[in-house]
Amino acid sequence: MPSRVWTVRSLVAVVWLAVLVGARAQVRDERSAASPDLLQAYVPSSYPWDVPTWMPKPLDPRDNPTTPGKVELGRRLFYDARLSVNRSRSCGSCHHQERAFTDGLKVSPGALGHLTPRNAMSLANVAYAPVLTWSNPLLTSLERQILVPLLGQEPIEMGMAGRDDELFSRLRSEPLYPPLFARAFPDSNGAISLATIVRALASFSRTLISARSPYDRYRYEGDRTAMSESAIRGEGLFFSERLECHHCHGNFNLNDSMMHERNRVGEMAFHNTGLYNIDGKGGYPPGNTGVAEITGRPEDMGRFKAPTLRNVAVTAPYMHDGSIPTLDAVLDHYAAGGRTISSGPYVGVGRDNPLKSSFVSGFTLTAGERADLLAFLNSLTDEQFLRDPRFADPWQPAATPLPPSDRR
Amino acid sequence: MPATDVHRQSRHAVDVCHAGTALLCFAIVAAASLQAQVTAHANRPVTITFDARVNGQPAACGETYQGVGRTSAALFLQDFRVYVSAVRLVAQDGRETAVTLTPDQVWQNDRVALLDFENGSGNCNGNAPTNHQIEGTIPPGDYRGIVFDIGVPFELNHQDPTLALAPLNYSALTWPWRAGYKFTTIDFDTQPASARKLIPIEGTNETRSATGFSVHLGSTGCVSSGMRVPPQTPCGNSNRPTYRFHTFDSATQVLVLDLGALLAGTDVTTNTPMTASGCMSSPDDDDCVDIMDRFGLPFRGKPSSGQQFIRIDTR
Repeated sequence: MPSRVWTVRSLVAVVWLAVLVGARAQVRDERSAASPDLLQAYVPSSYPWDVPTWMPKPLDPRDNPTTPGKVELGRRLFYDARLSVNRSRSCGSCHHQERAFTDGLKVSPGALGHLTPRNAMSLANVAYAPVLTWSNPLLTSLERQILVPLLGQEPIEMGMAGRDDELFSRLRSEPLYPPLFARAFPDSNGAISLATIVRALASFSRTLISARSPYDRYRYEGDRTAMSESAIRGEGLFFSERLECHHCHGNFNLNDSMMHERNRVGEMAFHNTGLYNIDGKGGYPPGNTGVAEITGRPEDMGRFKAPTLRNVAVTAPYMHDGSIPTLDAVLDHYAAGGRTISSGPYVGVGRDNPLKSSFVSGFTLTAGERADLLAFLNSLTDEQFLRDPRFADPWQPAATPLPPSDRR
Repeated sequence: MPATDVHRQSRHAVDVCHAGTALLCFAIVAAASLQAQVTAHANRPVTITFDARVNGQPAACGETYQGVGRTSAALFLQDFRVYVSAVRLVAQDGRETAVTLTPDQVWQNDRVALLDFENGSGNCNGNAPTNHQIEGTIPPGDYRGIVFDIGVPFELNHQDPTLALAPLNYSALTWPWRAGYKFTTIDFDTQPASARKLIPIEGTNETRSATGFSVHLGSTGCVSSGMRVPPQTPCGNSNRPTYRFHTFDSATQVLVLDLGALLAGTDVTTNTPMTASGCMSSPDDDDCVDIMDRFGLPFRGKPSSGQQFIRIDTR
């Protein structure tokens, strides 16, 4: 059996090749609906998604349809520290439910204390994401993304590279698992393998759907009382041409990379927001150069994905490197049209970053407008999502299922 | 062509056949062929092909084009998508017949089609699939010319874009409800961006230099009681240009959308202070004056001197 790291590398190579060949082949095609990627890889789902009627349902990967069995198994695995080399970290260690599955840290420590280069992203509505992580346009499968924390060596997160057999035997020795794997993967006789582990984790992650914030109730369910007048004014500012927030945070997940049953082709976007400009030529700190790290193209410097703003009030600190501590300071960054850093190794005027998105041109806010905008951002918090027992740690005895009648 | 239609439907039937019995198979293929021929007598398929260029060169993500605009700048393409509607073919006597668009859940519904010239590569945001054509059907006839609009029809233009069906389902192509969709989403950078000169404006923290350039055509002067309330009456400036070509053969010719021609009278390296980047259709934006003229649209009460954006070329 080849080493798993090699497998991951060859996967990446295959994806690269597919992207290059695909891109080249499509330039002169008159119509390329039969895209090699998303349109082929994702199909309508028959899973009983718990989404409000207004909300389009997520798609399923063709080779990993979501099932209750996989979701139940995936939830166990998500909160199981046996998935890390020294049994110290689970997926849930960096993705806390009460913080919309982020961890409150700038960057996160792995099992051996190494720090991730970037801030843990919220998993809310990850089922709608056609591209994963902050800045890798090639990572278009949640199943493949899960291999990064599990096996990655730069940095080591869960540290299981080369330890597959140890992982499988750890899981086999837990009496709960063999029947859960058998129910989730009847076609492979309940095999405990890397393939089944990542598929179950991905299926559970796809069920982490947040759709019941006050803003959802106001906007999509017509409940005028769900938001304060201040938050409603803030919505107007957010979607105004003056502030331009909506260009990158305009869809129902308040970002601009999305796919679902009504948008099967999907769309993805990466932007330089002028967070840094360390050399006057648009430079970002080493190790955090965004899409440029993947493509090697200088013009991709500082391009990162716009994250969902769902539950944004509980996901501080902000930006890809957690370098902005509060929402108020985030508004300062965008109001200035880019952040100015006046001391330390990353001195520079982000406003003058030549690679910056033209939508980040800056604006001025009165104190009242700022309060309205913050009220709007706070209305995006879905309290039910943050305490839904179906998403909680099942190894804790307190976790009991919510009766269906209590679910909105 | 009818023959293609028969072929397509039969092939579809043959796919079904792989799973069926021989007899059932025969029946399905026969029925499909029959149906196709009956349809062929009523309406014939028509494909209108478009092409995107910059001063004659094929427009593609990640490519740089020289000699763009009044200052002969270099353009680095980031997005190029356009909505087209109200497609009609024109008979010799000038009579117009509507092309019935064929909904396909991706590129077109029965009213509007999306042309997508970006493939998500290079600096383009968007997605890999592209679409350079409109497919529909039309009653048989001797058609000599074509007429169409750039734009989303008013009745579809002011819905909630976050829940809309294809091809109105891309957040990058929307403004909030009241204003509706961007009929053209054209974004580019001037190259090389890192060498761009930043010319400060005294007493402000703005610079005169453009940080990229966009051409977002859409309706303006739309009146409603709130941002997410659709206007009940047409917007003050609908900004849906109509393009009319008296001779056009869809079998041998293409309609070329040329950014170089659209921008020829504009300095794309600067942006009018206190206005949106490039031209986003605002009547207040001086950067729109020449662009609107070349779209073929009236602007600030002045009629267009004639569109320059689209021309016919051989395939």
